[in-house]
Amino acid sequence: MRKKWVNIIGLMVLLGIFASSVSIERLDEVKSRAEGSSFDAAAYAGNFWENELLPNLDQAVEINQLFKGLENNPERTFEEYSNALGIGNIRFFMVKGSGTVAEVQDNHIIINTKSDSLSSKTYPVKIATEYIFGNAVRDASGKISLTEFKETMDFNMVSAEINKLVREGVIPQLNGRTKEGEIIKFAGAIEMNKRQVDLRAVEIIPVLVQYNSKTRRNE
Amino acid sequence: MITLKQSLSYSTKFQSLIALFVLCLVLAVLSENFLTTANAWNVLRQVSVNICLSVGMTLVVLTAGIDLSVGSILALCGAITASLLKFGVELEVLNLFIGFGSSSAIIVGIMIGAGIGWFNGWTITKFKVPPFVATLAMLTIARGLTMLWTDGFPINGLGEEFAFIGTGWLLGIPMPVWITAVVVALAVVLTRKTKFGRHIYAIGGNERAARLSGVNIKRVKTSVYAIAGALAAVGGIIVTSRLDSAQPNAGISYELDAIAAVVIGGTSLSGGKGSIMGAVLGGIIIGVLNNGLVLLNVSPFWQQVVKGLVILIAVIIDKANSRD
Repeated sequence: MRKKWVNIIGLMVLLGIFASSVSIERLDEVKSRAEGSSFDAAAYAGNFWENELLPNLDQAVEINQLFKGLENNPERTFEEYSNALGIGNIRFFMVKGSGTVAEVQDNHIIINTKSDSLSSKTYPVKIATEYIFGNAVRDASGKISLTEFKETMDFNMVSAEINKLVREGVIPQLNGRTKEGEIIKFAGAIEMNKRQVDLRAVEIIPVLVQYNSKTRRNE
Repeated sequence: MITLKQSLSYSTKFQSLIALFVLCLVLAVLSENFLTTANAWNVLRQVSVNICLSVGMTLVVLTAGIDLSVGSILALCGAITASLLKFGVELEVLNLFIGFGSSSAIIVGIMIGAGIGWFNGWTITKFKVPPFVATLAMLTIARGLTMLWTDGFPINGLGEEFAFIGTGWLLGIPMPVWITAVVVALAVVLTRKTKFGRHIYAIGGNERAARLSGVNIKRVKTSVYAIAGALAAVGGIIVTSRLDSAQPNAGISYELDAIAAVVIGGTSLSGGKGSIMGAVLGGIIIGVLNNGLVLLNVSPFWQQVVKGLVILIAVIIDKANSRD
């Protein structure tokens, strides 16, 4: 009998705690309130793209200059040109350059960057044309800070929307239209591990591509 | 005068405690950062989740069972608690929105954990499915449900009140340590002072004899799996709160750490023998070992090898003691 009462009292206490921590509202009111205050990641990304990213692409480091820096003084090069959110080894660069299309693969376009006196060697670079994921563009720009956002999810959503802009605005200019031998100007973001620099595996998430009209055939 | 036989008997009884003491002594000599208050709290915070799981696992193992699903239940309950807290529940048909505070979300999370555990127990007792297989299936089911529930994305930003559970301090002691202490105390009382506890040992010792003695085997076993599920949910809530994020991949291989803690703590995998405090010591030994190896800059790959060897040695010693 005593055990039964203990169970009943325990259940009542639990229900009391539960009830005091639950709120019930009309769904339409909650939704209209949320619409007024919700973060529009697509609008933020669009504004960033037009007003922050594209106008500042001329400040991106030239790819061969970056290679030379990474060959000769990687520590200083990372410090000077890379951006990142935290203090880890993963860093991001905004780069620009031009070169000849060496190969068109399923997921990448391989570019032989123009040889000049800046770098002792030139390395082929891969421009991604299929898998556009990660935070390279957002973080390489150095223009977006986590502290601007109330929720980390909003911050992540911005990255997803930027990648969507790349997929829908930039990649269609490359996929199915690029031919070997064409000269291409590009700008984009790269991700690099500070402790494992491999200049032969540089992949660029493109934000701008321009073809040299003289090398453009069958347009 | 204590004889050699008595000394050996005492050392067998307190083998986990002796192992922990020796381990701490060695690490204190090798690393100057080991024997500090900050590091001690750090270790206790880290082991709190594993101890919660190990307590549930001990109850299951005492009945000669095993629960491989606790890691996945941890992830699912953490995700459900986080999503209730963050998004509430929308009932379109009734035009109602139910918002959950920390307490109500936690209660629902724990009840779901208990429900999944109960389902494990039900499949084991009703359909005579071996515990290994039933809980292995639940491991996959719960992980899949977690992915479905979260769409594979973490749920972040759960608020300061909820974060207090995993990161707050009360009377100079971290909250996860308080929660674990309460869980351990309740489990010790349950196993040592209640009829239910005696039934758990009786089932593990000799199930047939327990049945003939009038023990309701199905009810005890189902309850034990439900408790293990509820404690996995508690672990999930602590992890989610500590990270301020419900990760769909949370808890992967936690069940192995829990089993390791139970075995190192001297609980027999064939059931009927062992204790909650043994599992607590086992959990602390694993935590201290992990912490010490990190402080000594041992490669993570070697850490796994060392942990495996410790488990193996613990089982060999246990077997040797059983023979004696």
